[in-house]
Amino acid sequence: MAQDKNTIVINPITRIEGHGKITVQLDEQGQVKSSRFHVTQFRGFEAFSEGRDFREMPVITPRICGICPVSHHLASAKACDAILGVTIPPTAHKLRELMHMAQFVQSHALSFFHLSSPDLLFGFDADPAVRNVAGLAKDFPELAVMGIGMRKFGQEIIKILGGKKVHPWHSIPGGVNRSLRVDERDALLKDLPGIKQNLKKALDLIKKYLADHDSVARGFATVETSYMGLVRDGALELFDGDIRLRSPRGRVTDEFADSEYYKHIGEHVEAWSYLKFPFYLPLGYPHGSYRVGPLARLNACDDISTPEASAELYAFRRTTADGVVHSTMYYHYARLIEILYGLERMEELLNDPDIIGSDLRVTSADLQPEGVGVVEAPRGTLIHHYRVNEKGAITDVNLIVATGHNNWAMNKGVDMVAREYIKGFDVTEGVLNRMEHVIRCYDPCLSCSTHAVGKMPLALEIQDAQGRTIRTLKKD
Amino acid sequence: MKALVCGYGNPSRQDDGAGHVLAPRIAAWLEEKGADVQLELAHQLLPELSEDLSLVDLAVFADASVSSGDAEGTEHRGFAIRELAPDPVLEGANLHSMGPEWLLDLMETLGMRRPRALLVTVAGASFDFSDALTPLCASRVETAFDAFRACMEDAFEAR
Repeated sequence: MAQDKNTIVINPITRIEGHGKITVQLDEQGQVKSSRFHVTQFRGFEAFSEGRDFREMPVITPRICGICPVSHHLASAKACDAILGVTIPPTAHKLRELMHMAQFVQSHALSFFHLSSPDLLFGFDADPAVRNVAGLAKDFPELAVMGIGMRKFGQEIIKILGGKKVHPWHSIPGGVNRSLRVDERDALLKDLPGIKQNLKKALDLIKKYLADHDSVARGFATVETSYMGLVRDGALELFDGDIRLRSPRGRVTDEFADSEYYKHIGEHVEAWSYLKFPFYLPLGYPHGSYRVGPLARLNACDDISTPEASAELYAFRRTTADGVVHSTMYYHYARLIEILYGLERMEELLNDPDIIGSDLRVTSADLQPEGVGVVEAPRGTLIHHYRVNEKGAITDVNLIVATGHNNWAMNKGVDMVAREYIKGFDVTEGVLNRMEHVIRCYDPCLSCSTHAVGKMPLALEIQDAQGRTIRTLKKD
Repeated sequence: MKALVCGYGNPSRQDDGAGHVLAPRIAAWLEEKGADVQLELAHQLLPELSEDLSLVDLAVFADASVSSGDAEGTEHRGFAIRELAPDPVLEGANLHSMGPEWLLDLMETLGMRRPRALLVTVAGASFDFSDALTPLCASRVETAFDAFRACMEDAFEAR
């Protein structure tokens, strides 16, 4: 791209899953006027799913994403259960949840160990040639091996149940298509303690980092928002619960059945992004904007049902006076606590006699006109809503994905960092990397939120007062 | 001998799925020869594969290529077989484009035991939307398989 002396074109934001762009508009003095995080891709799964038999959706929709296909698979299956009007057998429910926990472990491990930890360990201003997973392997091999082991453990469970590590096929409308063998269960139980031990080392690392960099970490792209997440009896729930919103001051604003999300959540559209901006309807847009994902879930819930993660939650909350944690960089900390919960929950599920049961499926010939399926994907609340005709053909699909819920907050955070660090036209790579890191904190899956095609680096463009691009940075 | 055969690529993009067709053939043949074989089929290589690779003596990667892979001046065969060595250069800045050489380098960096590794590439003729190989690519898969078998037969006899 042609550049003049006033042009900075920055085209990176790597180490995220997805495709997007940040533009920073400067004024005549080189001060930041505004910044936006755009999602520039469009695919339209909602449109091309129309006319398909609803029973195909748990196989079609995981193709939206290669990182969290399990989340789409399960949300879709739950929506299909609702169309059948059935409650699935306990064994099927627990096997689905086991796969879901495996997905959390492998996805969160990818986010922390492979994508985000290089920034924390090498520093935002370190040479990009070193500040990556290869550099991590060289200088912090123990951490790299932990990440690899955790990812592999989660992926193996997904493969055992669903036949493949990516795009598995296990859940079907009304249940699941495969049981868990005793020898498979025992092998997983044998590996769990070592994985949990490694996770605790990573937790120590993030706690030390946040303590050592306290002022930066607390102020980094921090926005005070409401928080949304699933809860069951007030406790953190990732698979099957009610949707709760908690206010920035810590009050529970609302709690409602997941099937009634559309009565409470609206979707705002901006011309400059294909990613919608969901908001809490009673407060309108943008006042009703909220956040989802690990930080939001730990703020939304009262407690965690497993003992070790519960203890970590209380330590997490003690980092602020009122127990509500707004600091965006604490998403990493929350993510690791959720891995711990996932591992503990796996242990509970694997020790439950139902997990090796053989009652896997129920069915029904009476179709309901619509079905909603909601799960917490690693990145936040995932909603699948289908309408069907009397033959079961899809007539309407609405998907609300985690990255969409966080759209407003990501924009706000990028703008805050730009205003703090960009002073004039000479923008260093380290400053740009800080802006990337805002996005990485949320671990967005942009292919998921927009259903984008192909490779997805995020471009960063700096524009002058006339709107001309003066600098881009790109790593293909 | 323990072996891991990994076919990778996108089987929904026509000849990009050549590795998915070739790898099971290679795995079955190695089993016939008495090897203890693990077969992996994937869209892309990921760091987690390093753990499995550290447990085997032989790794065979099967992939599609956009070029024939032939050395300049040689007859066009539509496939290539080569021994792999660790290479730290990561093509692109993300894990989506990780090659087997980078994976071997990662293993070396992490102090993992590294197997002998071979890469078999088959030149694709079309990468459009389809889950079937073009006839040309399918025939190249056959030729590549025969060549791999001949190459490895010697190795087995030498043992």
